[in-house]
Amino acid sequence: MSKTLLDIKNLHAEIEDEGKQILKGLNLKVNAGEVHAIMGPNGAGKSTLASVVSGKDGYEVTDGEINFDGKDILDLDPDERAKEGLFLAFQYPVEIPGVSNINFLRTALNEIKDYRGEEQISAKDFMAMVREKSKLVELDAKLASRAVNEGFSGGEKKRNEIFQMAMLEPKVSILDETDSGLDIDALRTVAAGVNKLKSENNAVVVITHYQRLLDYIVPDFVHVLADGKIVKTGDKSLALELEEKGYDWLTEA
Amino acid sequence: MAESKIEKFAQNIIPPQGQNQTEAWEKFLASEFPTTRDEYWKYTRVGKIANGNYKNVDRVEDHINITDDIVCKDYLVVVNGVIREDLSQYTKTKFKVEFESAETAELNDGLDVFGWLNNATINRKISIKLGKGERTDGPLQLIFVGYGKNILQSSLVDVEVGDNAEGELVFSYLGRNSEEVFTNFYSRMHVGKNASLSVNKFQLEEGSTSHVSNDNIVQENSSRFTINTNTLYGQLVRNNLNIRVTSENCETNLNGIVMGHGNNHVDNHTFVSHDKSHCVSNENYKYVMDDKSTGVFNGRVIVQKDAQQINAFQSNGNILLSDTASINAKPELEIYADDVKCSHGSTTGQLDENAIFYLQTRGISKRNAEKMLVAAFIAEVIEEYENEDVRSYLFRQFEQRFGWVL
Repeated sequence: MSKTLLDIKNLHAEIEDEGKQILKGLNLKVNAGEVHAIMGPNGAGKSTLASVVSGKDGYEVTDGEINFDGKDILDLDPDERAKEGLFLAFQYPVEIPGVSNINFLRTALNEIKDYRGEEQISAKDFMAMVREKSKLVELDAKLASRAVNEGFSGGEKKRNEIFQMAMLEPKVSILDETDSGLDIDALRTVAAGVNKLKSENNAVVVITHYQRLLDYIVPDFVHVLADGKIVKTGDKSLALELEEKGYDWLTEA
Repeated sequence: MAESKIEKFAQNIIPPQGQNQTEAWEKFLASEFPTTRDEYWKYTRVGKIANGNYKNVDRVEDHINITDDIVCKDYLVVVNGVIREDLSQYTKTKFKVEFESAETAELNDGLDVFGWLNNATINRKISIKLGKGERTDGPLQLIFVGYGKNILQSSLVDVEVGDNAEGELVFSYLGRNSEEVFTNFYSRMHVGKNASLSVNKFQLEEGSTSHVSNDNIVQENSSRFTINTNTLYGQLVRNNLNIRVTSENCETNLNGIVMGHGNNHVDNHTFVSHDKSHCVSNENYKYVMDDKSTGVFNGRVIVQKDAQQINAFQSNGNILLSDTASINAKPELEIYADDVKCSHGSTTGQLDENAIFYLQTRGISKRNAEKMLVAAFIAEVIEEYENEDVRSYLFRQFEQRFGWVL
């Protein structure tokens, strides 16, 4: 049996200031080599799940656990979770004026290597890696060296997310509505990039509203998240069924 | 009769000999230190200076290591206000450097308490001249070192840039084994017709140094003046920068960066007077305030009645890194002409939490993410600096002193 990379058990989480519970006993097990899709109506807690797993401030986990590659990560800072091998592709990638894409990625990569007791990457090897990985998502080399996401189009921002994923080589990648704001060509490019990065040693969790992305990134499992819980799990045909019927038939009961 | 504050301040200072300086000294003794009731000192308490126990000293013989802070081929070193030709080297510069005995040097008129004190207590006046049409190859660096305990160091610098000349200067202020030092700096700079002068100030006085700078600039027709004030250290720093643009077609650039930490207090009061038409001024000051540091920015611009078609831009951005740091920012535009373009903007905020989180999710620690964002904020100003050596020196300072790679 392949290794479990992400194991979420009975996760309860609320928004800190409001005390409003969003996740209400969520279970999810992701093994190496798998692609999971999480779908669900607005307000079900999809993005909260991505935020809580990556360790964003402002959420409180009131019960349950998150194990990453066998390690409890709930007390880790977001950067430590990333160093353990978690990656989050943002729904709305943040523009950071004045911070160059390349420089920050090199810092990130070296911090990760340092954490793992590996050797720092040389400037030459790093640049070779940038060239190779930027091709993967057809990201213009010029964009790679510009300030992070500044002045990027919607499509370029999403490609930049996958480019960063390629550079950091995470064990688990959570793609939070990566398809939002993408035209069909950009969607194909982004999906092709993700597919090339997929291996039997890593896993991808795709959060999406629409079935469309799943034509390109084919999931092994489709989960329906509603009212803070996984209410149904199936194979890729569940996504098609949802597209046809909506979510009501699952949430009414 | 009770001793006045000024008398108490003056008790360990050796009074001057010459007539001019004695006059200045008497005027100083008859003055008072500003209080927060004075409009232009509202946010800066000078108690640290006024209650100091300073003495002015002659030469110190100890070895003073400033090698790392020499950025120019030509440099003049001043220790505790005393010119040290033995530590200096300025044979290549086209600037003509002269020293005038304080007893005979022409001093100033209509000064404030710090100005009188400066003029009364300087050792020798430094006079720097660039002849008509001359161009310097690289800047001349003036290095002012405060050394020892309870020291008052006063320096007076006169700069004259002849018509059509182009010159660059660097003023570095350093502390070595310094404790309770008061640096009192006064300069007058005259930029001739169609001439250009660029000045970089590095305020890097570690230890418990207080610093008051008065820089007074006069620009003639079609001249260009740029000053970059970089304040990385100093317990109490007050910079008065007064620029009078007396004629047409001039360009004036004022940039500044301030790094506040500990209990430091840094105050930049800038004043640009546009007296005639067709001139441009650009001002950009950025403050990064950490710990319990406090900052003041007061940017005053006057566009006189006869000064039409003036473009005056002012921008001030501040980042507070801690809950206990603070900043008081005030633009003051007084416009008496009707055909001008003037703008000012001041923003104060914290680092973007979303950006920090984003960087963290890529494996960068929070501290490093914050550094990256501050570096980006500051670098925006530094990138405008024209001299590459100056830029890289500053980047080096950030890296060595704060561990920040810009």
